Amino acid sequence: MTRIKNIITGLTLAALAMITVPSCVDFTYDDIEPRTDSTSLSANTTIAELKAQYPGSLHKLNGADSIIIEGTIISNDKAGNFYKSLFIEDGTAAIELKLNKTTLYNDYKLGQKIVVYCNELYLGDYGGQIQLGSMYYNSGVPTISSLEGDVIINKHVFKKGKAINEVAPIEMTPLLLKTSNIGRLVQFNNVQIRDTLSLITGTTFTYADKVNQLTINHALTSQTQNYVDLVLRTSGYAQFAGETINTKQGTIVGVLTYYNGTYQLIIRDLNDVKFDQERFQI
Amino acid sequence: MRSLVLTILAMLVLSITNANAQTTLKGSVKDSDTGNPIPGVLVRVAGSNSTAISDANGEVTLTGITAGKYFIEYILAGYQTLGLEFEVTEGGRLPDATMHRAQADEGQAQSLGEVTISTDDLESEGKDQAISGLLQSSQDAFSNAASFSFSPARFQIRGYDSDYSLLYMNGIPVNDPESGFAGWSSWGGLNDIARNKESKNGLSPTDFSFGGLGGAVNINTRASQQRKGTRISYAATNRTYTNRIMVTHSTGLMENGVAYTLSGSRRWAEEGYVDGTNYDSWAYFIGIEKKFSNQHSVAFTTFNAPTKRAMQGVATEEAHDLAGSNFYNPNWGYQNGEKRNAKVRFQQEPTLILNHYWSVNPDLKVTSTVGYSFGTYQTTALNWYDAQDPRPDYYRKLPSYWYTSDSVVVDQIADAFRNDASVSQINWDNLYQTNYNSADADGKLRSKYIVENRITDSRQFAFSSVANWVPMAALKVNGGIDMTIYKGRNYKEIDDLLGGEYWLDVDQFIERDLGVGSSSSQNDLDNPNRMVKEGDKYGYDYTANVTSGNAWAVGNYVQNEFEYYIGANYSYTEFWRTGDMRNGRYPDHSKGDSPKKRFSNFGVKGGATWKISGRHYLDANVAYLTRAPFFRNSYISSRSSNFTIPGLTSEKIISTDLNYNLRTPYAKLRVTAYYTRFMDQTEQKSFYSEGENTFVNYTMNNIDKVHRGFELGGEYKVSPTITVNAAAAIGAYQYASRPTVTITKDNTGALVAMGKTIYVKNFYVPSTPQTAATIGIKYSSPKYWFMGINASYFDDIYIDFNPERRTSELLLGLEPTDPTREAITKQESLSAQFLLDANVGKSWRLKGGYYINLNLQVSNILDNTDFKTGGYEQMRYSVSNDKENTFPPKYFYAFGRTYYLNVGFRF
Repeated sequence: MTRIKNIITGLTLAALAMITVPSCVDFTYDDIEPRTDSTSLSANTTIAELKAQYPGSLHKLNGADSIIIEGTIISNDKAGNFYKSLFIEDGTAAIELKLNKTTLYNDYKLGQKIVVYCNELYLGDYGGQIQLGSMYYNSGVPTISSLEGDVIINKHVFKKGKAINEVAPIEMTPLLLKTSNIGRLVQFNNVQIRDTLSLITGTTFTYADKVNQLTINHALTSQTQNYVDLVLRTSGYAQFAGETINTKQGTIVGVLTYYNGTYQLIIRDLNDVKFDQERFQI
Repeated sequence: MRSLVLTILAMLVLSITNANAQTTLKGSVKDSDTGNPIPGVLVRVAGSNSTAISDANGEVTLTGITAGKYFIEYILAGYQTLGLEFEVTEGGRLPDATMHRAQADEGQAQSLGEVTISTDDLESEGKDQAISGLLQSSQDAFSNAASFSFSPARFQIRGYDSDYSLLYMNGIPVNDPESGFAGWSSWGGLNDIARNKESKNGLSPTDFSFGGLGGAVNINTRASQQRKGTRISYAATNRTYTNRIMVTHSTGLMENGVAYTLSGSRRWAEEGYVDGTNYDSWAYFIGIEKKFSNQHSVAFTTFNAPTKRAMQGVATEEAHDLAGSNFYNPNWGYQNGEKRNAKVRFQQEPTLILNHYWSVNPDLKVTSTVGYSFGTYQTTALNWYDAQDPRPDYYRKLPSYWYTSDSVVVDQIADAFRNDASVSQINWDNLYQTNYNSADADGKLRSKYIVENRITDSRQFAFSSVANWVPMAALKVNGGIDMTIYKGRNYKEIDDLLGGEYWLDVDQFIERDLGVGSSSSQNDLDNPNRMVKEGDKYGYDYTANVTSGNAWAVGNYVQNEFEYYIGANYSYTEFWRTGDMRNGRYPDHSKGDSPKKRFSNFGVKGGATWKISGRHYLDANVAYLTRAPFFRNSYISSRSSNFTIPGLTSEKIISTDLNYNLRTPYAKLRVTAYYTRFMDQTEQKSFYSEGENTFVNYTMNNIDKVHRGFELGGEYKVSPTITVNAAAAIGAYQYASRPTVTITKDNTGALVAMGKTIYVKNFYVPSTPQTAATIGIKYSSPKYWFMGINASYFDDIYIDFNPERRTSELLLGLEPTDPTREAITKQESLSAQFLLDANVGKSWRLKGGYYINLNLQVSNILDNTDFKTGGYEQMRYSVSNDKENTFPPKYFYAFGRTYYLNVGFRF
């Protein structure tokens, strides 16, 4: 009988040991709480002042003055018409910030204020449009490029506050179509896309070439103003690239960019196109 | 078939006419300490196909032996293998054997074949299912080495995949009908009850099965044959788990004719050898056997081993170097200060088995079995929608991707990876915050990142019946039938929305290629744009149905100097896919039952043994087998459609081996030469194609392989206390054909290539050492302690290759002398390695029949952490003049120094 007792005692002890000792193996986790990042850094330089420092060729920002700018985000890559860049504006001017990262809208919402610590960053330009970014060797030649992923971005770009305040676009006139407004959020009234029919296929144009993923420029004309060299530029990777263009006339909002003498309007998505009146005749 | 049967019958008739006097021998086996009979002992006549297992009273009955001098082995885990040289005379009796308990319970210190590595890429999923020969213990010096010394190197006997070895549990086939893999983990932690087994390597015939190319193992858990008593053990180790408690109690056959066995265990680790791998596994086993009469016994067995564990990932050398460890695990990251692993595997398979053992008469035994199991196999993984790749070792996050950037910046990236766990590991915080920041137009949080769970729920019914018949002393006929009905439901579930409120069930790659809103992007067209929550099925949902039947027979005929066998099997396999979701890409070919695929297969094999003397034996085996393709390799994309791959056909195998065996009381030696040719194999992969810029389905046909080589295993007793053992495998496992490939785009089904040639003839079969050798020495003290040390060497390990890199299309435009050609096409071999292992153990006998044993095993004593045991080239590939491949191979490493300390208590 003692033997049976021993067996029972042994089994019970072992069972207890199994259940009680190792209760610490855990596969459940508490959710991480929502959190808002906000930097305490403040601007010491306006974007206009920063852009004024650009000497006309690739320029590294460093030295003792530690340039810090602040701006509100006016671009949005959700629809795919912006790619690896953020446009920020501070009331004096706007600048393109090149970040080597897609789906930026997940982190940087339209209307979010950010601070950019510019030390070690570069100013450069593409076709005359000033850009803030990093540098890479293009076949050995230093060239403006995008900040190299999260590690580098997180050293330079900080969110400030959680308030979302979208910037109101500047209502454009031909006089305002000038260098100092490049990169800003602008609005054209009473404009339409000049050419609507493809001479080759005889069908209405699409915003871009979705099939071949090619970017397309469509000239914009105004009923009342005379804009020279103004185009609506749309990426072949934009989600709406394959949609037929809005052939009516009206208001259009977008980021004003520039390439070698041509002003290019880049819309965030189709909500920026408010063409709701009959076309005008030129 | 009919002519085959006739041939067999004719041979039998012929052979009977010149049969020699045959003998049926009886004997018994006892424990040296207690004098009690030992059930479950495997008794084997060297050089003969005669085997027997001692019954509940320790009685052994050997049939089919002619008079002469023999070497007989008695094998049971926990005991020292006993070898007796013995003169068989007509009407004689076997010697009454006495077995000594092993100095320490060596079998205790083994973890059954563990698979802990997970790969991210679909193409390698499954291949990591390394089989270890751990269950094929101690019957053969070579198998022993393969099981113990070679297993850290992921050694596969003769280079065969695990699906060529058949595994049975009490007569029920265990190999997964969907993929063919042998599921060792179903009884992980039940080492105590899985000790009794019959196993045969290679083509040698068995009593319980026609056998596979790589042999067959039957684990026999019959309660009446389990060793009587209670065992409690505790193990501490630093491998995949860190603690194990195991308890087993067996009654032996009691006076009322009932025997039962109970076993339970828990293995766990807060963190295993690799960072971020927690582990929690439970197991139970209940076996009951009732002997109704000398003719009938019925046994019921049920067991389960629910196991949850976090997986190890594989990475590139760059990530290993930055992390400062070859065991860098990209699968985990900190969540609220705790290590959370994104890849967690949960599996269990509760199994019920009912056996009927029927001794019709002394010459005919019939064992019939029905089994039912219902399992689940789940692996979690991160998934994301229109967001950054969350994997910390994604190629764009590593310094090498930024090779054209300023070196200061590259150093900053490298430093961050070295020092900041939020960079080098998964940044869970970022995933949560992104989700919290992803309100849709209605203000609901659409998760950008989730943890999904990929699930296979299986139901399997199996029936088998095996007869062992001795119609006359010289002849033994084994045969049987079995059938299985399998249904495996494969689907995905949302495991964790990571702070978000829903996930939209659409395919983002299709959206990207064909635009948002395209019906093709719907995973579930009948419920479009479904917002799925935690616990909801999504993505894909289909059932794999596999039904198969098999009949086999093997006849063994014995003469004085020669012994022959011949056998055949026939199997019928039918499988089909049942879709439970209508996929937007294939609305007419994804829902409901697919057409059935049917295959008839057969195999024949035969062999002869020449008993040169009682100590020297020569035997040869030859087989021709055909095998139906497995469900998992048969569909172009089983997750989304019913289409089977082009040219779906049965695989054919021809194999032969020649063995020399030496058995003396001091020396054991086996030398084998083998040759196997596989024909018409098929492989199926799905991966992201850089060239096509989308996911493609990739089917390779016409794969032939030749595996050939030598095996050598020997043991020599230098003195009663010192034994030297050695084993070596020298093989060449190579592709013997140029496979052809068919590639289709997953998004549209469009054909990308058909009949494209893959130039891999003479390439080596990857991921197992083709050369392995070990030598060891063991001292066994009469005072119940032992110590042993083993040195092992491995060479000719090749990594798995990307077939796309071996096409003429890829080399287009490269001059024949261009060194890039060689760099692109050459198969990488890994460097030779050396391992040193040791173990030591002691047991004590206390008053009142109590035993304590202590066993310590130290593997890789020299802590060699540079041992690459395998790897694979990524399917993404970039060629560029100024830069190394952006997608370099990923490698697995053998663990460094580990220990396994086990304390057992037995009464």
